[in-house]
Formats: sequence, structure tokens, C-alpha cells
Amino acid sequence: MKKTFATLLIISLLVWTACDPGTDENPCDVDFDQSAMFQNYTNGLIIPAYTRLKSEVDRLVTKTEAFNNTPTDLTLTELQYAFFNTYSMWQDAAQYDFGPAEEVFLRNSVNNFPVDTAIVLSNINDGGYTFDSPDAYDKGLPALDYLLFNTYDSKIDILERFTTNNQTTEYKKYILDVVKDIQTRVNHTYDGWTSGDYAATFNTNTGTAAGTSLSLLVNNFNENYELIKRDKIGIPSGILTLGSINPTKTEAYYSGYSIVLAKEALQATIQMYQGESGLGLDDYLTTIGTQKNGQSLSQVILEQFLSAKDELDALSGRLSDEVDNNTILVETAYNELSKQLVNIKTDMPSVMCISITYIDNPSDSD
Amino acid sequence: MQRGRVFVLLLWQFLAELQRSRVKRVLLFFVKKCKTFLSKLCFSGSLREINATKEKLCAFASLRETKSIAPLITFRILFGGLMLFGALRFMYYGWIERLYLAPNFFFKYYGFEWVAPLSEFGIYTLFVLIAVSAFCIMIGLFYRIATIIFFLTFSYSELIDATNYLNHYYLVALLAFLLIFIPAHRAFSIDTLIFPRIRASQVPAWTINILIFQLTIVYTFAGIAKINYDWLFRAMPLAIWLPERANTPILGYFFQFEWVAYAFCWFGAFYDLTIAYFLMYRPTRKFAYVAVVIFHVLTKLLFNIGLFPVIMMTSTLIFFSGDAHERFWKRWMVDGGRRTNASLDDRRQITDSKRLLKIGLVLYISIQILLPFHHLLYKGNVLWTEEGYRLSWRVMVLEKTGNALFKIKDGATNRKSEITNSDYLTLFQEKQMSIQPDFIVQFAHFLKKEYEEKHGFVHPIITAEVHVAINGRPSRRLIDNTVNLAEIPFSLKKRNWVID
Repeated sequence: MKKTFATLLIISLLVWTACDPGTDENPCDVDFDQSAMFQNYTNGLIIPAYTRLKSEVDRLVTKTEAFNNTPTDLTLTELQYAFFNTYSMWQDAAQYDFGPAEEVFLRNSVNNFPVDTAIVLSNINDGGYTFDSPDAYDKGLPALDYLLFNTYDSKIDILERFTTNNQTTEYKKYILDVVKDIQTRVNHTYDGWTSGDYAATFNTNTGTAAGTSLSLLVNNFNENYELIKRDKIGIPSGILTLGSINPTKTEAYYSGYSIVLAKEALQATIQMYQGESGLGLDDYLTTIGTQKNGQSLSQVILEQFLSAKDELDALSGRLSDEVDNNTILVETAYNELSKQLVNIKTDMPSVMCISITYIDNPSDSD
Repeated sequence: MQRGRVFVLLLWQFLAELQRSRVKRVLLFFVKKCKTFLSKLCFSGSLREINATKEKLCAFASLRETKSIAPLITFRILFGGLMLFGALRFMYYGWIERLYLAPNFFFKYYGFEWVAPLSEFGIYTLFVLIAVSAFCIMIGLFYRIATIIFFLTFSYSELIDATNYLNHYYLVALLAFLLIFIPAHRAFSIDTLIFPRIRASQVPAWTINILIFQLTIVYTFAGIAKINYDWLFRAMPLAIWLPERANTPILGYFFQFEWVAYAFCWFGAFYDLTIAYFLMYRPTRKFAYVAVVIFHVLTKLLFNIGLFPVIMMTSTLIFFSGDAHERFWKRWMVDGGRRTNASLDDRRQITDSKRLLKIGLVLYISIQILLPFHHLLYKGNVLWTEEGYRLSWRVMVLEKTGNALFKIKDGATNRKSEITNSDYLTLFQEKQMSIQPDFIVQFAHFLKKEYEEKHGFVHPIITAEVHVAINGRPSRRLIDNTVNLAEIPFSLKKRNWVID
């Protein structure tokens, strides 16, 4: 027995596959108050984001009703303004698509873009639509964007739909249905966080398992960031399509708010990363203390965010124009956004010892 | 002789047989060296000791020796039943759609590029064939044909997409292959009712020993794979996986403690390295089997490893003596414990083709022993480069994630694009591709063809930024991001473009 064991040990030594020892400690065992961080997210970021979003959506509904009652240049301007404020507020809330938000498919319902105008028009024509499918592109803010704006800033053409057009009633009904749908879902989410018991559950759901608050935050942080990178900038820029640009696929194509919204989305992401002024993912990383390329990972991520922000700030006007006129600038911004992905999608979950759950093993593993 | 040396002795004996069969001179020299090495290792250089145990050794390894068929009956029925269940489970969970119908592109094994994906009808037919043949194995109906069909269909299903490689599927394929040559249908089967002539209560000992050997290989190499720095001294990846199971009733409470991960790691390594030998040794066998059950029930509870724990729990019953199995089956055995003429016929038949059988066994055993070492042919850490990773029983030793960003450019026109992997791959395929260099090459070749055909690229240059993180570490670059992957051949040669 002893000898066999010795044999095995010798064989084992042959296949010793040690990674360079002694460089790091076990990052999974970290002394950090997760619960305090979750409370900061709940009270400092998530609930404020949904509170502001809710009040903007409420105003959006009011303004829609006012516009439907008396469709004039003034009421349209007010409605457009309410739309912009809602869209802007949405960028903050977009990154918390779990819990109550997930129950009502909030992200997909509010901001599936680009809008499929053919379906919107046929909905208006035929009636009998619902907004229940998370995979549909005929609702939410993008549908409003299409119905309340056009790319040449002419209010007359918009007003025509709601005044003299022979489907005026249908148009009015459609925008009201769209905003009401948004309102229902936002209210559900807001209620879930404020009057329901989700906040308490979230604050205490510590650990690194799938479904814990840390895992939810990191996964949604990543998912949302990929949307910013790919959907807001990448796809319109043509970088993913052999340089042939897709201006109509920008977010808020008709209103032309695309760049403003992208900047706000990135700003919101940075705020989320830092937990605003309280405990955030950056502090968690700092406590773990992982180094990457001789710098703390926490710092690497922050700096990459800032340089992406710098490049994005260089863009102005409509993204649909910029992709055509300022291709290089857009490309640079995209590349800076792109560089971050490894840091937050591969490094961050790895050192935090959580798995990226939105990519699932379809069957067994071993 | 039993005391755990069996494994080495068995190897020694087969080397001796090989020597006797006068294989090529170079090989003969190699065989001699191996024998000397082994005898020195195990018997402190005393060849006399070998001779002393020779009789017993022959009893274990000889092709003439017979054993009770009972362990094979148990094995056949449980294996067939499990495989039937496995195939039905696969269909029921919709995995056929997700693994075989959803993807447009499939990763291949080197040498099996010809394995074509099947249509919906084709793939369901394949799985029905797997299920039916597994059922036939279980009840022992047209056993030889059933084992051949099962082996071929099961292997085909596994060869379609290398993304799905799992060590336990590989084990199933090997066991199925062995069953083709093992007369496990000669008692307690439908075949014996149809063809009473084949009935036998004794089978050649090698037919049981080869299964014991196979399981020993699995455990031993799984154990060897665990002897690495991360597993033993960072408790990785269990330090990641256990806290993820903190919701497990009762046990979950303990998973938050780091020492528990260490305990699991060291126990797991010790278990894998030694369990097969404790199972071989009669006095420890029962306790060892209890350990087998506890170990695999635990892994089943903790990890998403499907049928593997059950396969191991049932297969290891083969270690038990014929008596033990007979006591269980006796009530139903058609011919009790009597030796029949049929069994004598059986023996003669096997003696006739002994030479061929010997060569086959020596080949099989050598391959099984050598294959898990094939990573030594490559430089670098196999857990990082994945060169020589598969077919080596590295079970559950890594938590690995990667991110791969492909860029394609036409050298002729300078047209360029970044690739959205999910346009061509399922999320699971993308996840696997991002960490495995041979998949990266295959995907690049696919992109090359795609862009040549659909976008008129003349001279595609494909590069990739691939970053991989292992066991809780920050990521590192996996491959040289300047190398044109379109021009890298898909081969088993050392990949210089993989960063060690």
C-alpha cells in the first residue's frame, strides 16, 4: 500500500500543474460588509432612481392626456419635454432590471429599440394590440419617440397625426396606451421597492451564489453596460457591420437625443459602480485588493470609465449624423467602451467569485 | 498481492505479455524498460518478489481464468437502465433543441470534422436509437447488436459538438465500447431465453477486470489532476463553488467557512487517489463503498453534474466479488451457480482468438494509461492552455471564464468589422469558445469562410482579443492578438500563439 502510494505521489509530481504560487490569497474570503453596500444601493441609488422615474412617468401621462385633449404646438412641446425627461431618468433605472423590475420585464418594455415602425403603424391601423411580449419592438419610449418626433424637427407633421389625420383617434389612443403601459410597469417596480418587502430581502441577501444581491448587481451592471456599448453605439456606428452605418438604429433616433442619452447612461453606470458617494462595487473590489497590470482593479475600472466618458463627450448632436460625419470619433468612443468589458465582465466576477448567470449551462457540467 | 498493488501488477503483467508476443524491437526495448522501472518502483528491485506473486498475478490477469458472471449482470442492467434514463432525460429537458438544433455552427474534434450535425428528425432518431439500444442492453436483448448500436449512436451524438464535452460522457463511450466485447448477456437476459445455448455462469476474468481497470483509471487520474497548487493551497475552485451553495439545507451553513473548502479539497483529492484501491482490497471494500456513496451523493447535491455520480455509484459495484453479486441475483438466476457446457464453449471460443484479444487489451490499457499524460507533449500549464486537456479525467478542477473579441479585416480592400459572437454561436458555445484555443481557431475558420462567401473578402485577416480568468484571479491574455487566426491550421500541434 505504502509503495503504491509512493508511486502515485511520484506520478503526481510529474503532472504538478501549479500556477505560480504565492502571488495571491483567496479572494473569495473577503472581510466586507455586503449588507451595508446593498443598503446604500437601495436607499442611495435604486429607490431614488425609481422615485424620480415614477414622477417623470406620471408627468408624461398627464402631458399625454393634455395633448390628446388639445393637440397644439404648446402641448406637444410640453409632452416632448416630458418625454425627454422620462427617457433621461430611465438611463439611471435601466441597470436595476431585477426583482420587481424583472417581474414586469421593465427594461424590455420601456426601451426596446430600434422601434419597428411597420408594426406600430399596423397596430394603430388594426387595433387589438397588447404590450405583453418582452421581445416586441412596438412600445415603450422608442414608440413614443417615433410618434412624437421626426428627424427634421417639424411639429406640423406631428400635429397632423393628432388633428387632421383620419386616424387621429387611433393615434391618440396608441400614445396613451404606450405611456399607460410604461406607467403600470414603473409603478409596479416602484411599489415593489418602496412598499413591498423586496428592499428588505435585497439588503440581506448576502453571499456569492447565483441570485444573491451581489450577483444580481454585477450581472445587471454588465448586461446594461453591454447594451450601452453594443446597442447605443456599436450597432449604429457600423463597426459590427463592415463599416456600413445604421443611423436609424440609434436610441431615440427621431428625437435625436441619442448622444445625450448615451452620455447619461454611462454616467449612471459610473455612479452605480461607485455606489454614488457610499459603499459600492468599487469599494468591494478595493477590499478584495486585486491587482491588474500593477494597479488595483478597482482603479483600472474607474480610469477606463473616465477615458470612455472623455471620448463619448467628444460627440455631439445626433448620433445618426455623427456616425456619418465623425466616424473616427465614434469608433474611438466605442473602442474605449469596449476595453472596459474584460475588466467588468471577466475580472470583476472572477475576483468576486460570482458567476455570470445570464450565460447558463444548458445541460450538465462536470 | 491484493494490497493495492493490483493496478501496477496488472500493468506489469500486460507488459510481460506484450514482451512475449514479440512486438517490434523498439517497442520491446521500451517495454523492458517499463517493466524494470515498475518492478523497481514497487518491489524494491527484487524480481524474486515478482516471481513469488506470479501465480496470483496470473490468476488476476490471465485470460484463462474465469469469474462469476454475476457482477457483469449487475453492471449491464444498471448501465443500460441509466443510459435509457439519460437519453429520455435529454429529450425531456429540451436539451436536444438547445444543444443540437439551436446552433448554426458546431465545434469539432480533431479527426472527426466529418461528423455532420443532424436535422431535427435525424437527431431525434439518433436519441431514440440510443434509448432503445440502452433498453436492449438492460434487458439483454440482442445484446451484441445493441451494444454496438449504443456505442456508435452515443459516440456520434457526442462528436457532433465538442462544446458539450464532458468527462463522464467520455467514460460512458468507453464503457459502452468495452461492453461490446464483454459477454454480460449470458445470464439473466432475454437472449438466454431465446438462445439457451449461450447461457453461462462463468466468464473470463478479464471481462470484469477491464471494467475495474477503467474505473481505477478514472479515479486515479481525477485524483492526480487535483494535485495542483490551486486545489490544495487555495481550495480553488471549491472556495468559489461552495459559498454559491450556501442555500443547501443544513450543510449550506458550513460552506461559508473557508476551512470547509480546504477540507473538501483535501478529502476529495485523497478520495480520488485511493478509493479504487480500497475498493480492490477486500477488508476495506465495504467501507470504501460507503465512502463512494457519500462522496457522490455530496457531489450530486452540490453540483450540476447530472448522471455522473449515479454512474460512478452503480459502476463501482463491479469491485464486489462474484459471491456478493450472486447472493443478490441468486433468487432470479436461471442456472443458479452451476457451470454449464455453454460456459466451457465460451471459454474455448475466447482461447481461440487469444492472441488478438491480448493485443487488443494491451493496446487499450496502454492508451488509457498514456492518454491522460498527453498534455506533457505540450509546453505550459495544461489548465491554462487546454492543450491536452480533454480525455484526461480533469474533473471539476477549474472555474474559468473568458471574453473573446474577434476582428476581421480584408487585406485586399481594408474593409473591416468587429464580430458579434452571438450572431453565430449560442451563449454556451461562446462561453466555451472563449477559453479554448482549438475552438478559437475553428471559429476563426468559420468566420473566414462566412466573410469570403457572404461579403466577398479576398484575404481575410482575423485577430482576437481573448482574456481568460481562472479560479478567482484577474484575467490574462490567452492568445497573441496579432496573429492571423485565419491562417492557423486546425491541428494538434503545439500552438505557439497561445501565451503560456
